[in-house]
Amino acid sequence: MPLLLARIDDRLIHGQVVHGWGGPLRPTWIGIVSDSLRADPARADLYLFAAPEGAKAAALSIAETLADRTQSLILAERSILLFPGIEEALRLREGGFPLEEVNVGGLHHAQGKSALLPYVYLDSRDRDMLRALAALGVRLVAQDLPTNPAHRLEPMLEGGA
Amino acid sequence: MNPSPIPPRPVAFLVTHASLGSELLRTAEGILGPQSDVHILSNDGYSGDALSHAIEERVRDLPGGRPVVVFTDLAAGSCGIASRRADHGERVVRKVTGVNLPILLEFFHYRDTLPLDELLPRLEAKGKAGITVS
Repeated sequence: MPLLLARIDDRLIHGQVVHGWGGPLRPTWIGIVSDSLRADPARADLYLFAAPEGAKAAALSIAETLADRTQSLILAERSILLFPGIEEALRLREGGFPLEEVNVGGLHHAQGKSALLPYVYLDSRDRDMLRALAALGVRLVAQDLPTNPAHRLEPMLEGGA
Repeated sequence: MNPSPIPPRPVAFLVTHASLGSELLRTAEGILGPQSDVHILSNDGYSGDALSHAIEERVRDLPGGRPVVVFTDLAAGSCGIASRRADHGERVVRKVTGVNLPILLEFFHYRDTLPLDELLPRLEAKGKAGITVS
């Protein structure tokens, strides 16, 4: 079973993921790829508690996600990968993980970031990292919910700072 | 015999998706009349981290010495998660997820007369009892 969804979302497991995507995709496994969350079990538990019914969830470091056993697990389950930011997705792809498409589903406003879409705020470093992902052959799609339009991000990144 | 001391009035803090909190309050006030000591925060535009910090800041700005009850909608949503993540130090901050109108009405009815440890189980029972299926 190929990966159902790889999503960059700074809220990680939350309503849109549990109900919006979890309903139609029916994941059985959700991996949060984040070195910082992996190092903070108490904080990780808050998110893992929120996993939808029928899905196991784990916080994984990037190195753990790159391990063969994790990739086997992802293929054996109906899997979703979540990233708190673009950097984690980029590092995973650079490490050799076969990411084909990344959904940018929620990068909220922060100082120095401007809106590309109502739910996607980027600064110049974010744009550079997204371009790097695209250069590695990853298809970039912005879509907050499966019932809303999907936007190809590559053209929207052209010419921006 | 001295009467029991009146417990300090808990402040309600509704942290919800979109405008659910303000609409819940507006509806409750339509039933009970205007309420004070109620604060609202929507999750619109916040990352998980930013929402958690916003909750901490707003609670810090509330009158000291008063307990706070943070009401959130989805326990497994950004509001519920951020409310559990928020660190309030020594301040008494209790959390209620799955807020609905019966819970809020019960809170406003009894917050001036019941201590928090009696009020909160009552809210949970009232919120659940308000759901019937036929």
